Amino acid sequence: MKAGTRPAYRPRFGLRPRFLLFLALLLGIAVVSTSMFLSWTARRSILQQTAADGILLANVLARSAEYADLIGNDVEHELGKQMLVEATMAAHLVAIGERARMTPAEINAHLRQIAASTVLGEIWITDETGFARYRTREDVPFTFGPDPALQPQAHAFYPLLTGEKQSVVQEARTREIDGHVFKYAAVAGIDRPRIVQVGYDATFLNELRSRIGVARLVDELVASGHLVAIRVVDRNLLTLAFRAVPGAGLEAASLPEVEKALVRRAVDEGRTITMPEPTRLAVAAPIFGMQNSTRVGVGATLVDLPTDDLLDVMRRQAWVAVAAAAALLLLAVAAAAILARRITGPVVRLTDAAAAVETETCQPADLDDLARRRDELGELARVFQRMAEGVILRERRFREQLRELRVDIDEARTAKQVAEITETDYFKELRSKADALRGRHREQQS
Amino acid sequence: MAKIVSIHSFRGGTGKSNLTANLAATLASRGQRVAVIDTDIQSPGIHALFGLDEDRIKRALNDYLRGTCRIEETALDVSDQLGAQRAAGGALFLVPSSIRAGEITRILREGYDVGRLNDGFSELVRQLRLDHLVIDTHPGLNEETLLSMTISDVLLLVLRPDRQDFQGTAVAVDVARKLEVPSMYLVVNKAPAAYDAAALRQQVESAYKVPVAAYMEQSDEMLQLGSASLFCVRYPEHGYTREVEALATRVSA
Repeated sequence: MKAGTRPAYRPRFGLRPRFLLFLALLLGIAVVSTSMFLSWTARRSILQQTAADGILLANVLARSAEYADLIGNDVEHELGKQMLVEATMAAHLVAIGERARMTPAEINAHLRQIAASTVLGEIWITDETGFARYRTREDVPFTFGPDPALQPQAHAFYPLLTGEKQSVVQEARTREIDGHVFKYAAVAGIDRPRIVQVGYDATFLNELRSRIGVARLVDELVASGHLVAIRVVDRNLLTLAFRAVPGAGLEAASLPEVEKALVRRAVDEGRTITMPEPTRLAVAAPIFGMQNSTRVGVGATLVDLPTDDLLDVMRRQAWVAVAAAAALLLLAVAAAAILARRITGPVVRLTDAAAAVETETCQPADLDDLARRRDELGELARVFQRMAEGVILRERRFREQLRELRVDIDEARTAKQVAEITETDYFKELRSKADALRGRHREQQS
Repeated sequence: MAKIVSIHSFRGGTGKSNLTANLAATLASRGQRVAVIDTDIQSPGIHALFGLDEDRIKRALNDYLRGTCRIEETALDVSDQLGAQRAAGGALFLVPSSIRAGEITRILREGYDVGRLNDGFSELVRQLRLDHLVIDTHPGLNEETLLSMTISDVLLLVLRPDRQDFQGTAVAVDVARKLEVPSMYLVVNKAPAAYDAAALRQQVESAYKVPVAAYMEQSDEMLQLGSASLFCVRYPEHGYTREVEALATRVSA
């Protein structure tokens, strides 16, 4: 092909940009979807791992709580039995004292001495009316009554006075008169109807529970920084233990509604439930206790695990994915450009060659290198070469024909043919009248 | 003063009728009053180019030659065929030959007075106040052709670039010379596109010593149109049309 035969027309949105755009789009979609899928699966697996951790933790805590509860109960039970021993001894003591005609003041002095020298906190001994005639705390005159409304704690001991019961052990609880945690146990009188009650400051029971139980574990776990918050609640969603890292926005007093629902479900369904929240993962595990020798849900452990770190990791991963995708895309575009050039370059050359055929300047041999290609473009170039050679050959033949096309007139034959006409009478007549005929037309027109 | 233009070819199939019709149309579109007369009584064909068929042709040249009507009564106004190219003052008429087989055989059997044809030409020019009378002749050299040549102001000889046409045209040129036709031109038609136009033109001119007034290449568009209408009207920008325009200019000069 000669220079300067390139056609003026070039398509505005040609094969090459189309090819490039298509490939880039395809690769872009592939890369983006792959990284999205990878990110998603990574997030899922990390979340699953975190959830598994949370479930394990919550279950361990729930078991610990159950265990701690059991030990505390056993200790308290044993304590109750010992207290009944003490109360019985006090009952005998007061019977002996009265028979020995000791004054109430003398008996009280003995009682106070016992209380002062032992861990026994209080002794209350009533007469038949329920009035605490003998007591270690002289400043508190107290009369036991049967009305639970008036005496929520003390009324339970009244049946000792009536003979309905011989002993009562009450679990440790916060005392209504001064707010101290106390445990009371009482027996009926030996000599007459009485309530003989001993009381222990049972703060140590709570301390024991916390030492062996959940509270300490909760504190340690939260302090380790792997958790946002731990909360242990009873069946009524009352918080029994709570610890949260500072700034977590969680409080002991208020359990968020969503978490309440979560805990309720965990207790009701008796299984561990997880719930992802924006920055943390909440896991609720039920705590079981024995009631009438059956295992029932008595509360739940709620563990909040942080997912910020996880999200950070995810974000970093996403950035790496984006960077990798961009690099890959760049590479792909470069590759596509090279590929596009490999394909459209020959197409442009063939187009130019076709245009050159039109202007009769085509040199099919110029496409030899292209025709040596083994792909479809090579085949196209070969077909084109054959076609162009055919066209050129035909044109050459045409030109040769034209050169051969002489305006060859056989003079003798012409003369003979002309004579055949001119020698007719009609022609001779016409010839003689020609001027007249032409003249007549002129005449008629004018 | 009216000009009589005869268009002739020694052999058939040279595109003579097409050239005649288009030349007449081009002249008419320049505001001239033009009539085409089809003297090819044996094988009439020019009517088709003006969109006419057997039903629209009531009277033909045959009727005039038999003396059953006046020549101007056979002329059909076909100016509407010019379409958008119709010009003020211009008019285009056609005097057709009968295309009824019976009429054709009858006139060939009985013959006619060639002198009457000559009178008809004059009468037509006068009655229609023509600027140009364009005569489409029968190929070959018969009596009416020789008459047309004799009375022509301009004779156009149409030929294709092939051996037989070259030989026949030589005879026609010599005969025309002997009849002292005032003005004679050659028209090379249907030349293959591969031919070198300038070279062929020059060869033809030097062989016959007659100027080539137009040179038309074979065209696909002409083939497609298939003599169904006027090419110049349909393809005003075509090379063929340009050549016809140049020819019209030369003829009316």
